Formats: sequence, C-alpha cells, structure tokens
Amino acid sequence: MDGSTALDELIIRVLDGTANAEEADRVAVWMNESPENRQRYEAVELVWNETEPEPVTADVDLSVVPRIVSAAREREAARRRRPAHVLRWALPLAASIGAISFGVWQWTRDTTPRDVFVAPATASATFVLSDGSFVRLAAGARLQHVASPDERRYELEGRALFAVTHDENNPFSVSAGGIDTRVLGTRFDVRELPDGSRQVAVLEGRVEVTSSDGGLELSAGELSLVAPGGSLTKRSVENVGELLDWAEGTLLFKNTPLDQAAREVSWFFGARVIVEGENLRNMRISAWYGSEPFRDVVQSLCAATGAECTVSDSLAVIR
Amino acid sequence: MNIGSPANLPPDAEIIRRLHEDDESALELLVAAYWKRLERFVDGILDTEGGAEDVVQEAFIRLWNRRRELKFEGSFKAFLFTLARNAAIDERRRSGRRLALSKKIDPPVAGPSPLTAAVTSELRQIAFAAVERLPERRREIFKLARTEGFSYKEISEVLGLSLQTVANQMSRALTALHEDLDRTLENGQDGTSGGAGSCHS
Repeated sequence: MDGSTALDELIIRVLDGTANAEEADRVAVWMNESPENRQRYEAVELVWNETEPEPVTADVDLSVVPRIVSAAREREAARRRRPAHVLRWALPLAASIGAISFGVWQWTRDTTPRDVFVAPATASATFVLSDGSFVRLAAGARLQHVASPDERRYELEGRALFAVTHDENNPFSVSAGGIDTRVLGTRFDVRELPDGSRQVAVLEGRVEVTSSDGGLELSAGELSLVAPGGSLTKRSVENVGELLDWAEGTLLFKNTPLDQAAREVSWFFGARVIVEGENLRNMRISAWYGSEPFRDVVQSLCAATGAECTVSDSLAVIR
Repeated sequence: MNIGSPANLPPDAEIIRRLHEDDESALELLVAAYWKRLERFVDGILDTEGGAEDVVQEAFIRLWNRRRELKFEGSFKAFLFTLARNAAIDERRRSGRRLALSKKIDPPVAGPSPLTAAVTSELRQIAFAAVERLPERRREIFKLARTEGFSYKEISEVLGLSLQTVANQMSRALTALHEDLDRTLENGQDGTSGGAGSCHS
C-alpha cells in the first residue's frame, strides 16, 4: 500500500470526526511534509464534503418482522421436505462404479474436511468439497475456503476445473486474481494465462464474472477473458475441446446430463459416443475420470445409468 | 413505526446471542436500524428502479434462517450488508437481466425538487453524478465508505476483496471524483453537463 493510498482512509476518518488524536496528528504531520500531500488532503476533503449523503429519515414499519420470521419458517420447512436430488445420481453411480471395479475412483481424491486444498507441484489432484462439489486442481494450484455467511466462497491460485453442487440458496463463488466468479451449480474452468489475464470458461450452467471494472454473465459454451487491468470480454466457443483443453486432461461431471457427458467423452478420446433415447440422454451423472481408457469410461457410464453398451475402440452406443 | 440507528444498537455479541435464542426483538432492532440503509445500498446494486424492499426482506429472511449458525469475528454491520448484496445479485440474476456494466446515470441537473434545489449545490449534484459514473465495483466501494460509513476493512468483508484492493479502488475513486469537481470549479461551475457521458477508468 503506498503512502497516499494508505493515508486516504485516515484522512477520511479525520473528516468524519472518527479519528483519534494520534491519527489526527499523523495526518497533520503528513500533510505538512509536502505540497503534494496537502493537495491530496484537500482533494479528499472536497470530494467528501460534496458527497455527504442525505440522512435516513423515513420510518421503518416493524410489522415486516413477523412476516420475515414466518417466511423464514416456511422456507426452512420446504427445504427439509425437498429431496437431495444431487445425491440421487451420485450415490447409485458411486455404488455402481465400486461394484464394477473400473478403478474410476482410484486415482487421487481426498474427502477429508479441510479449508485449504493444494495440488502437488508436479501433478493435478481432485478433491471433494464439503458441499459435495468436485474440484480438479492443476499442478501447484491452491484453493482456500473463506468463511462467508451465505455463500460457498473460495479463493483460487492457479488453475481449476469446478463441478458445483446446485444450491440456489447458497451460491458458490471463486475469487482469483481480482476477479470473482459466482454460480449456483454448474461446471466451469478458471485459469491464468501467460500474459497475466484470467480466463473463465463455462461448460454447463451459467456463471457471473466480475472484475474491478464491472461484470458479465456467461452461459454454457462461453468464455470470458479478464485483462490484467480488469477489462472484460467474452466470446462463444463452438468446440467443447477448447473449454476442456487441459494439458493433462480430465473429465469432471456433476449432475450432468448424459448427453452432454457423452459429447465431452467423444471429444476427449476422439471417438464417437451415441446415446439413444430422450430419457437416457437426460439422465444425470456425477463422476470424474483421468487416465482411464475409453472403454472403461463408457462402461462406467452405462453401469451408472443402467443402460446397455456396445463399445469398440472408436465408437460407443449407449441405449 | 420506528427509526433506529446502528449507533443505538447493543454490542454485536449481544445481538448474536439473542438471535441464537430466537429472540425476535433482536431482529426488530436490526430491522429498525438497518432497513432503510440496506434499501439505499441495494438500490445502488439493482440495475433498475424498484425492488430494493423485497431484496432487503430477503436478506433478513436469510439472516433469520441462519441465526443459530452465526459465529464470526467481523463486523455485524458488514455481515448484514453482505447478505443484502448477495440477495441483490441473486435478484439481478433471477430477473434475467444482463449485469449492467454501468448503472443508470442520474442526470446532474435533471429537475431537482424545490426542496432539494434549496439545499443542494450545483457542485454537489455534479459530485453525485460523477459517483454514478464510476465503474461498478469502484462505485460500490466508494458508496459503502461515504454513504454507509464503512471502514476499508468492513468493505473488504462485504465485497470479499483484499484490503489493498479496497484501498486502491478508493484512491482511484477519490482522484477521479476530485478531477471532475476541480474541472467544474475551474470552469466557474458552468460545466453542469460536462462529462455526463464520460466514464472513468
């Protein structure tokens, strides 16, 4: 924090009358050190004086309080009645995969409750967050949970692919290098590019990206670039591979429609995956894959959804 | 009917203890003290007029639903504003509108009421218009500091930013606003519409 930036808040406290004697003395000494310092004080003083807010004068109708309590009670009751739809597929899938022993779950993962997740310097790693969301951290990446009253908040260093458990009352947000990405439930990728800009790519759902200069919303298949200065741009991406372009490669699904998962598996392996039937295409799966071969991945998808599979080296039909 | 003041509230720890005990009178105190201030704050986040009242109510509903989990060391005021901000952002998303990169710009001299005109200087109107032209995040930071009297630390808690980022953004806001005011003063206060379409970066 440079001198004048650090002093701004003290100047404000002096102007507001909330500075103590020591702070007021410090500002006075600083102001007399140079004409530039005095000019800064006068600049802040002018702005502060001319932007003094109107006092809050309107009455508050306290009859709203019982309505708040009642609405809160109803919402809590509704939440308890709602089935845990996220688990509807995750649990059968885990059970199926465990039973057929494809080894899909055997590579690095960690479900120990914690606040900080760090991938080794030379390999990426997958973690399950406390809300059931998956995160795949690139080598050397670090993700830290930050306590927040009403959202799932994390700070990211490095690159990560997220598959977020849906919870409309508890948004999921990731801060990385001065940009915030906020979602309800989706899959998205955050990374820093060599020029210092940040990229957010959305595979599924919608996210909101904000930087110091504003914000925008991204939908599935869209990619946002945030320049080092904070300016935001976005573009559509036709090839899903552009969004999944990890050097090491990984597939991460969270409550993802099988049809969408099949498209990504197709791209990932350079093979063709056909899913027959509307119901099957809309079935949702939760899983991650790293080094498993094409056949094993397709077989696990089939086992999890109860479908029949025909698989060759370059073609799979799920029906 | 009641007009409360945050200054008259019991200490944060007592409010939290009472909320833990389902004491609705603690909620009443908070509503009386903060409702109007939260409405003003939320109105600055929503990109259209209206709707702030519902958002503030939503924030208090969330507060009441989480009353037994409340356990934090920061400022309760910052916590409440965080709830309101998140509820406002959710409302903006739910309404299907794209996020406004720059909120509506209030015309600097667009027909103030006689009462307002009597107490508001031309320079003051220019200052408020200039605040609305600040980039969204910077404007939000400035308003929390100026309108709500938040410390930089409290702002960093509400917006989830580092202290350094808050300080930098405030510094830039103060510099930009001063430049606008200084320019107006140099022009003998006749530049009332000057810069209305400009945008600070």
